[in-house]
Amino acid sequence: MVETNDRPILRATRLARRFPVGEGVWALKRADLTIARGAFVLVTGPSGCGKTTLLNLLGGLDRPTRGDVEVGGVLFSKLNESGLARLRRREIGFVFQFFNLLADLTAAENVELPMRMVGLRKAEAAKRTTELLEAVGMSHRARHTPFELSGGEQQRVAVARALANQPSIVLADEPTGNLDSKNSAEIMELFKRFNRGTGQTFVIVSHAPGFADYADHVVHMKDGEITGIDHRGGGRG
Amino acid sequence: MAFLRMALRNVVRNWNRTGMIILGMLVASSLMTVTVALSSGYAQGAALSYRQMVGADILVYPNRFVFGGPDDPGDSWQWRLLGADQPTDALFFHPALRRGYLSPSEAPAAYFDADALPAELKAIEGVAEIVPARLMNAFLVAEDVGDGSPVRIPVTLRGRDLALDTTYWDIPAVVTIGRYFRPDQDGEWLAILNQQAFEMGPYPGERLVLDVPAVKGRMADGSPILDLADLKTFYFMVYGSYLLSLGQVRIENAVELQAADQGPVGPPPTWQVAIDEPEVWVPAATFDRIYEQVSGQPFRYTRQLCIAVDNMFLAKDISAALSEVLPDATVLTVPQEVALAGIRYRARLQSWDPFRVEVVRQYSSRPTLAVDLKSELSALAFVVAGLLIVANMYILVTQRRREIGVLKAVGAADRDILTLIVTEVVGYSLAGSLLGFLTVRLLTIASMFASHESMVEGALLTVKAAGMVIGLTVGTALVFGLLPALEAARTPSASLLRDS
Repeated sequence: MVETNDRPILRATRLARRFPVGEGVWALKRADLTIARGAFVLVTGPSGCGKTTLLNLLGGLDRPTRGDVEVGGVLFSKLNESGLARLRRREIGFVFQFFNLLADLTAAENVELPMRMVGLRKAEAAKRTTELLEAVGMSHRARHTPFELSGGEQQRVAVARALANQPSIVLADEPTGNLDSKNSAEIMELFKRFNRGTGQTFVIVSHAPGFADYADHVVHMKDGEITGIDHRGGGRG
Repeated sequence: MAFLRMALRNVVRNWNRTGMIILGMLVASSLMTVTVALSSGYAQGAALSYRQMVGADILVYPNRFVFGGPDDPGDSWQWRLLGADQPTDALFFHPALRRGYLSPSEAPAAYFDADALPAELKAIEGVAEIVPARLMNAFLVAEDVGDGSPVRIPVTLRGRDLALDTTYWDIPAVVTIGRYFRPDQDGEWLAILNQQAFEMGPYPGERLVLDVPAVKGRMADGSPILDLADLKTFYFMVYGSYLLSLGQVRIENAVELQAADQGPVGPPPTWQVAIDEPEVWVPAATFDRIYEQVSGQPFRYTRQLCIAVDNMFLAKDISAALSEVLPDATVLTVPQEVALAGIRYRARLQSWDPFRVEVVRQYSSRPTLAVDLKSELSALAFVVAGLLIVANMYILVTQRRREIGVLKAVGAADRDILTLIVTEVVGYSLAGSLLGFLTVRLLTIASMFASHESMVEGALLTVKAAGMVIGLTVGTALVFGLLPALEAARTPSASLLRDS
């Protein structure tokens, strides 16, 4: 088992995922991983090694073929779909490579949506949205729709949305994959800042080698398996 | 609530999508509206003619035919307003209406008492020409050339008074084949046919088979109740045929003609009064005998006054005026609103005597051409409209799988996704179907205004039809919006994001 710390917020046990394509493809063959609360973890490896599959399983966006995931002591296998949705809503924030903001909503509404989903009152949600947008440097673009924002700006809004409900874990799948180096560095700095400031756990999938410097732990993957982990003791930032 | 608001916001904000979907819904519901109007409206229109026979005391009709009489002590008279030189659009779409009423009127003067007309009626503009008449629905039995099974062709059986024939009508001039009745043949089983309507036999000297509906009873006012389910067969010798062509017969003012001592008056006939309709004329006394045999009672005229007016808007005014001067009479504008007639008809059913109700029900349940049209044309149009809606909904949902995936990723449950989709679908389909219905309705009314024609089609678009169209549109949209939405909601978020 590869462990990053002995105070786990997230634990994956013998996690495997097989996709029914042709004779079946094992995108993830086996992953045992324990991630501590407040860790900043980078999952890296060559394209097609199963990073995104692992992240989807860790976040409950997909169900494993084998194994289980535990977040804050709750096993995913014990949850039905609505239970899993509730857990995602409160405990997990996602940042995607393609931003995935809702096109019909403004930046502020995108950030506000998860808060409204957990029943936060309009005024409270609006106040927190303003704070988050300020924190990611996007308050001046609050009323803009995604089409009116650059890639870097959209990703900042997506980060704010992921943090909306103050989740324990933020999972980011190639968050800088569509950004230039300057914007990429800014997004990583943003992650690191929140990680240090709030103690939230960040698990970031990326094959960009330079980002290892930000991480406390770097998980290496190859051919659907975790091949090793580097403990880096705090990382950059 | 968050998703409800989000759905409404999506509908309002995404004008391109909203516009396209509503346009699709509009086309679909317009198609449905027209279909409903044509099919159920046609059926209602056709049935209406028979309902009138046992229904209103006074009919106000756009453009042409008129009959009947209020407060008739029994057998005295019938009225008719002339001017039936061309079929109206109503008659074109609802030929059954035409069959249900008298056209030329040919009752002896003894039956007619113009002085019996209420003065108020005569004062109303439009009620001018009134003549007595005899009429009965009948079916000419013909052999089908295909499989040899007998076919019943609806015809109007007219009792023709020979004295009137010879006095007021220049019958020899209009009879082109065969001969015409002689006064001494009154009461014999003879018939002459409208040559215009019967291009092929029966010919003079052949036997004519007519099925005549039994008269099962009378209404409280004495009007006969025809039982179309019980047909009595009569055999006639075809004595001749007649052919009316334009410019041969003129009827200007039958009241004056008859009041003028039954002598030939006025200028030579110039109008065609018999339109191209199947009809069989028999001597007046023969008509009475037929009636007595099918009813078991002496002949009595139906008691309806029908008033022809230029357009439906005038008809409504006259109808209102008549209701005012004759508060005890039921005044019906045909086809003012078929729905209205239906409502009145149903309302009246509650108070009618059971036999009368049964006759109408029997007729109403009878399959007709309209019903056939309904089942086939409606099915076709509904399939097309349904496909439009299905395609619309399918696109609406499948184009948004990524959005659904994102929503699930940020914590939306299946129920939330369905709330979002259902709200949007209901919004789109309600707006689209309502607009579609209103579009057809407004276009119809506008064309009626422009043409001053009857409001048949417009009138047929009733609240019930609206409910049917909107209900079907929303229902179809819901089903075919929910299916892909359910599928998407149950698909893992990762798959939705990956696939899209």
